[in-house]
Amino acid sequence: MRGPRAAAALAVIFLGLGGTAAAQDELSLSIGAGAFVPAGDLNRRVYGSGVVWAAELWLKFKGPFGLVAGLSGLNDAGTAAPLFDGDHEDYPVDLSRRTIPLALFYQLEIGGVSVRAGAGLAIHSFRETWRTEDFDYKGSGVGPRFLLAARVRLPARLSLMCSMAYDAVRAGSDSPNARPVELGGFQICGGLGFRIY
Amino acid sequence: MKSVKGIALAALLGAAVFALPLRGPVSLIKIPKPASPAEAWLQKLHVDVRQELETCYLALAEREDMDRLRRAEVRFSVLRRSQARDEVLIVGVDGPAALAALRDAGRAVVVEPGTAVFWTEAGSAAEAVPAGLPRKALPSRSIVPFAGRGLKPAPAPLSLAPDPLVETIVSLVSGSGLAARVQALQDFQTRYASTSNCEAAGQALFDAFSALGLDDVRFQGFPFSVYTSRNVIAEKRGETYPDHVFIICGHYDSTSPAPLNQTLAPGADDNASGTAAVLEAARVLAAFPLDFTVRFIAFSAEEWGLFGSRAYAAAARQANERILGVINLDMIAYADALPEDLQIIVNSRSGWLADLFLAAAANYGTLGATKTVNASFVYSDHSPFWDNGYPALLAIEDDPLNNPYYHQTSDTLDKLDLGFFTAAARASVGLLAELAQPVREGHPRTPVGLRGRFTSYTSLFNSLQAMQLTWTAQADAAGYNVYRSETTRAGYVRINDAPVAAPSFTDDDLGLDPVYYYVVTAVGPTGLESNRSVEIFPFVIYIDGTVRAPGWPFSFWRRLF
Repeated sequence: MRGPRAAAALAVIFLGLGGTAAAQDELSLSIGAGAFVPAGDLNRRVYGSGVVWAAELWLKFKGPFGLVAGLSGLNDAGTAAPLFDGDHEDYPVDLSRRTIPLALFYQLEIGGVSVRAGAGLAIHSFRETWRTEDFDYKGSGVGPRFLLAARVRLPARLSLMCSMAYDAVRAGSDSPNARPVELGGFQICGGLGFRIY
Repeated sequence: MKSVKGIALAALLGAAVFALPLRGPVSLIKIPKPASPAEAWLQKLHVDVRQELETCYLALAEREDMDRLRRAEVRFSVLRRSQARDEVLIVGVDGPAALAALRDAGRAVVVEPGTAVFWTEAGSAAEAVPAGLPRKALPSRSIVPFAGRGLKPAPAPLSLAPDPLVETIVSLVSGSGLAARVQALQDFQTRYASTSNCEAAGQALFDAFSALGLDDVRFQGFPFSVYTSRNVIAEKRGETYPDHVFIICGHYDSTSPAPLNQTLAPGADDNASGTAAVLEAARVLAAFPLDFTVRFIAFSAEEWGLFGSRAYAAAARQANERILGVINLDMIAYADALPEDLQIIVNSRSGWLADLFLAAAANYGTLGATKTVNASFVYSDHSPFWDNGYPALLAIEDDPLNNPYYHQTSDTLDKLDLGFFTAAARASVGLLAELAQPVREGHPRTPVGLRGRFTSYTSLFNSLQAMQLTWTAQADAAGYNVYRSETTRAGYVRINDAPVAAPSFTDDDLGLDPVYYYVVTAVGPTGLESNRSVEIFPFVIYIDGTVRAPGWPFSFWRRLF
């Protein structure tokens, strides 16, 4: 957990530095929720799609570039995958994941819509537990993040936000399964934005 | 038409030439056993192993096989070059005199202390072996598929609770009845295989079995040397598991020094005693319905080199019969010192059967019994079962033999100790009844259809191994109990808290080394419990003798990634 905390601190400092820079143009906060579709076969088989929430700070500089940082979470429930087909028992399992993204974006104005495309890193911490067995595994990992977002301005500093992000992260080589698994996937969120200044 | 015939003839000739085995000369070789059990490399090197002894293997090898062994740095020695695929015997030689006599009769090479291989350049090796020397023909098929396989025995000494119903069965074994049966066999004067007296004795045994009301009695004919003879096979079919078989057997042929063996070989101890006990077991068990099938077999031509049991065991393997255990009784009535104890001889893979015999002997009588693991004791009818991968034990009065009348014309009933004989027969019947499980009146039926499936459940970071057991539901059961053990046929521990209602159970408390044997029982409405189902062990026994769960986790990862 040391990595995510350090990254969070780094993100805050990074945005703070950005905020003091003379080149700053706009700072906004977005809050949204949506769906997460895992990229890994095992993840899809055990948990399937899940509900994700996200809160992000968007700092736009003068010119087309900006920085985005935030926090997103995923709480998912599933069933351990049986090795063989046919009748089997159900072993319910839970997965929680917290992600801190940090990315550089490019903003394009098309009509009244601001389109943002970016790339950066995401730091993930996760925990998986079995409800009926004494199995509990915690871990963390870092991977690339790619994002695409659109914003439509509304009155009174508000805006409608829609974003799509793809994370790739393999983690868990020190787990009891002794094999890294793909934890990333596609995340689609919709929500509201609030322009701070 | 001529040309068509010519073409057909040429094609036939071509096919015949093509079908000829293009094999080089074959040698008989000896491969010393390594310090640790490692039959795996024998299979990897495609060695045609024909016999396992305590310290070595005997194998047939062509030149290229030997080259392969040399390249693999496997030590071996050649016992006989250019071994024709003909008769080679393994002969017990218990001293220099026996070895000298054997060498006078043909070619003999000592392969380990007390054991020699023997052949003749001309004529029948079986007929050339001096009388009195135990012998066994080299098996005609490779034993490699069965090498190293075995079930994990319980830690000895094994203690089992006596079963009152089995005690009742054992009490029915009659000492006077045993003596009468020995006398009847002795009265044939000789039962030397190849004589008409031996065939008449076989017919008498057939009639005796037939009179007991068993489910089936039949002959099994087989050739040996230039003769033929017949095994006598009687069967009491299991009510629950008719295809799962336990065997009690003994050979009924006899011998004495030639040429007297043609006219006088009473063979009271060797082996009217074992045959009489087999008949007595059939008489006693005939009245009791059993869960498992029991076969009562009197083999012939044992004294010639186990020809009857070789034919039977090979045919059983060919038919893939489920023979779960074999009790071979050979010389169980002579006591050289009192109290006499019975030697129970097994190979390493049949050890569990000997442990159960010792427990039965303690429970159902006063017989002392000693377990000996000795793969080189191949001179009785248990050995072909070993060669075909079936667990088997030999019960014999002494090892080494200490009967001065052994293979003599003086081996008669008056030399036998009826007390020891009866105790040995009772212990044998006790073990057989324990294994075959008498059906109990008023109790639920024994569950059938038990299946086990080893499986694994995985999440992203953790996995759980589980054994899913299912069996056939039955109307007379209010519930079921599930038992498991780390060893075969003993030490079962119930793993369900209360009787389970459905005919299925998942054991997910397997730990890291999930090697368990499972049985289930049915529990009736009044709480009475049935006999145990057939035991299953849903894991893989590897050729090197280790046991592991099948393929986890690699098969899983192959499937998902």
